[in-house]
Amino acid sequence: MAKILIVDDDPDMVEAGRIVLEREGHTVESASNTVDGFRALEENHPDLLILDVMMEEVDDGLLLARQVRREGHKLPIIMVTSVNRAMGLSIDKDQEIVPVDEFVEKPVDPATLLEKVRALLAAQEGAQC
Amino acid sequence: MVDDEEPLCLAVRRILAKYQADVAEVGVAVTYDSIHFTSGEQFLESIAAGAGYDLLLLDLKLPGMSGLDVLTELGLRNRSILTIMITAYATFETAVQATKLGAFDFLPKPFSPEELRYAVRKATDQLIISREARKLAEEKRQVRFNFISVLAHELKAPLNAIEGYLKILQMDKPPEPLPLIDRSLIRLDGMRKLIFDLLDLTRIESGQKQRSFAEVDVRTPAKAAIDLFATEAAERGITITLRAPDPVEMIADPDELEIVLNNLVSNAVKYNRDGGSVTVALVRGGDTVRITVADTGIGMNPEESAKLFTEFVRIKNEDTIKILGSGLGLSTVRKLAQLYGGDATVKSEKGAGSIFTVTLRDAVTGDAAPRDTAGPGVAATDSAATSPPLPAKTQLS
Repeated sequence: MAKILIVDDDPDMVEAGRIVLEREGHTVESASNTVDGFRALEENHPDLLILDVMMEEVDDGLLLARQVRREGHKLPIIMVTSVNRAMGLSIDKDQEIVPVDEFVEKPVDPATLLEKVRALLAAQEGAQC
Repeated sequence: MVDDEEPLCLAVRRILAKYQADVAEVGVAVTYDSIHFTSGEQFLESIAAGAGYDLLLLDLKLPGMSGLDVLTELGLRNRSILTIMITAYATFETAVQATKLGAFDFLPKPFSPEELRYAVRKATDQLIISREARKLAEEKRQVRFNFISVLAHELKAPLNAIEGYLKILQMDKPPEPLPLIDRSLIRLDGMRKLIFDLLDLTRIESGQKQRSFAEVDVRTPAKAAIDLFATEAAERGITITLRAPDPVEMIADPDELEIVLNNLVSNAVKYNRDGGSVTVALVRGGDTVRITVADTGIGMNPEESAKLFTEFVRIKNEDTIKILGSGLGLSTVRKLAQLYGGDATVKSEKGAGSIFTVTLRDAVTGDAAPRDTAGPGVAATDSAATSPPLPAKTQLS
């Protein structure tokens, strides 16, 4: 089972993720901002990062994802988005600009989340063998 | 300038090169950069090549196409330019026709340098003022757009949280439902509070709500606010004290005082530590009533304090992450204070607590307080609109 870090400024989004992932036997840690999130990542070495895109600033999640990659961490990242069409903010996978592996739309569907977590962890395991 | 008399063109350009118009209303000094053509065809070629002009001095009688033809062409190409018609013999009919085609003014030949400068000056005022109006309208749209975008995000957050919990409860062998239901209800409460705060703010800004002033003892809304949050405070061992031995009377709209005090007391409880205290003090000094609400809560650093009164700004850190708020309360308090010729300020120390001070002057009865009428989120542009304009140099061509 994996160690998963959730970085989201909404405590209920963290809680919902925790419930779903812990049922599957994963260990869940959380942080509510990018600074604490990065610290938790460096200290605890999670296997997977679930990242909210819009925290204090609209692009906090993106910035953290880039920082994580810049510092050489290769763990899979799932980005949770609540795409605000009115703001014209649309996000696509792009290893330069948005260096994440998967997206999940808010509200998060437990089955979808688990499926993506499972696939990413399996792929990572395969890569390590 | 489009005129077949080249010496006239050169003379006009010399005059304009030395001219500067000060548009005092918007604090702009305008200087002129000019070019001339001796036929309408040449001028339209330059337009077709992408040249842009702010002001056109256009001769009516030109070889080839006439001044009126030029105006018609400009209109057809949707490239209307503020135009002064220069003409030696304008008949009434041509004047009417030129005006219909969008000419702004007429300058009869021959004209003195003074007459030229006067006509150009009039056109410049028109140009600058309409440009400023457009800029202001654009800023208002932008502020409104930002406000609505943030609002949409703030409304979606509780929906996402609640829907997330409901989906968990829908799973096979769901977890114990009560904690999730409790959290969902708390988020619904937060959402309702946001909607009410939004309505308060919108009403205040729009001036739609009839303000009804009366002689109010500020202790009454203060006591009501303390009562409203007494249960919440007691559950966390927080004591609330009212320091106002004598009546503190002022002319105000009781509903507005209620909004101010409810927001201040609510925050002082919410952001307090368990077992802390809240002190509400009311003082009348001269023509000003001062409301201070001091708490022994988590406090803020100066950077956090500085942005606190802005719409949707909520201080997010480990201490506040579990505290719900709309982010509109304090901006509403400040707007209300300003309606009473006062202000809302905060002094705070991280970890020690905060002191919020609201000053209010008696409302002037019968005074239709000047208010913004453009709806929510627009107030932020007011400061930009009323602050003294920066002197700017504008180059017209």
